[in-house]
Amino acid sequence: MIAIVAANINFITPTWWQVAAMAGLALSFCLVSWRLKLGLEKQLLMGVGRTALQLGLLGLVLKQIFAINIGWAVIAMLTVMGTIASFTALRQQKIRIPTLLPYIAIALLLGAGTILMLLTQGVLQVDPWYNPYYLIPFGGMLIGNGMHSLALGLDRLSGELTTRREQVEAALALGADPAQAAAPAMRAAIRAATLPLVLELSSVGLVQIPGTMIGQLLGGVDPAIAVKYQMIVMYAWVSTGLLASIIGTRLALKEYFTPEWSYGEWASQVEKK
Amino acid sequence: MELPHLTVQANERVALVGPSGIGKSTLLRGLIRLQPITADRYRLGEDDALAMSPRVLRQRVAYLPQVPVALSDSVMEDMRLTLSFHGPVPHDWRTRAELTLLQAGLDREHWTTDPSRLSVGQRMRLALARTLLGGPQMLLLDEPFAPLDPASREELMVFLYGWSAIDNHAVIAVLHDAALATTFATSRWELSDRATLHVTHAAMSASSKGGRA
Repeated sequence: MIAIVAANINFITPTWWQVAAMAGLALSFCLVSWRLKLGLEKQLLMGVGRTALQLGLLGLVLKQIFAINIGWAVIAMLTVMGTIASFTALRQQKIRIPTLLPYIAIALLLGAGTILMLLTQGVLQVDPWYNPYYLIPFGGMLIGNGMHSLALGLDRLSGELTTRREQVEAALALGADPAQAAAPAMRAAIRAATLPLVLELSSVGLVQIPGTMIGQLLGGVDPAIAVKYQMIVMYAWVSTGLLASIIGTRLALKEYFTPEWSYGEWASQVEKK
Repeated sequence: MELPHLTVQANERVALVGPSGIGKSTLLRGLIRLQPITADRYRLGEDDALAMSPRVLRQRVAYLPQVPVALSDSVMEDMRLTLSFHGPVPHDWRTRAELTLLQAGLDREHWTTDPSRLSVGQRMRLALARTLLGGPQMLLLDEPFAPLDPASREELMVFLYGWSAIDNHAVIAVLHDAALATTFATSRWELSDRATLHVTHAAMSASSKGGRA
């Protein structure tokens, strides 16, 4: 919490007027959109409004949680984030099997939760253990990231099961259980879910300054410290993505098959499309 | 589709015939429960095939799909994978795999080839070898001869004949070619448009009580 502020630089605390000025700038593009017939006016207006509303609300909630500063409030906040993330991951599936929801939630809890605990309790050893200044930003980031990997992985899994159906059924017909028969599909799904993160590891910092660093630099933190935090974030990210997608695809797999070890109802609906 | 009571004997070869789209493949897939079936009774010898685990059922009743597909990028890996489906891979798996490949008629020179580079006939033999690893008592084949050239067709027919008539196993094959059905089969199940089944036997007789499969 104690930031080492670089000397001799004036840091600006934005006023609401300054925020409003930028909102006005964004809104002025409604006119541009209207003139160029882009048809974006309504969405742009809505988007600017929602940004203000959602972030304003988040600010209020965070302020409250930081003020109360008790463990269960932090846990409650992370639980709400995890629940919304689970529904979002399910909604992003092209083939939506509602019974996947609990498995998505468990995979998020185990994936993001484990890494968050390792990071904050094992490595950084924050004090008190629930310190909201660490738990909430790290937690939110890891949950969001785990959600993205899970959504990608499950979507790919159903896609692979559809395109490789002949191969998977050939294995099932030889007595393979769904996990054995779908092993190549699972590998492809986990790879698809985490490859973007792994690639991100190699390209970070080359083109743009990553998000965590931007925040810290604007907050006046020494770049040497900001860089360390960014590295921590990157490594936690990729670990969460892998863990959540491995657990998630593994748990969800049986929902794609019947207890008789054959393709579930969803497959015949895909065929019709 | 409603079917009467059907019985298949060991050493019987059934030709399943009927117009396309009538549900011949569905029936075969239903027999290994790869597709849902409702049956009052489905027995393999003394054992209840509906209560069996899918793993056991699919080892005892082997199904060869119309288009043979490879499981991996090598013939031997396909064989090892198949054994791993049944349980821990035995350490003599290589010997078992080789003997079974020879039994199915896939020559040694093809064992190191990527299955996607094999001919359809060779791939069919690989698929056959994989199913034989489970020690099945009945083979279900979906148009097995259609994609094959005359030589491979004859070889497969000789194999199936020996496997059923001499080794005492049952075969049910979807067949389009009427002449082939006559030479190959000992009995005929004909699915007709009204989704009824007409059974003709060359040698065997089977009971025909009510029941659904």
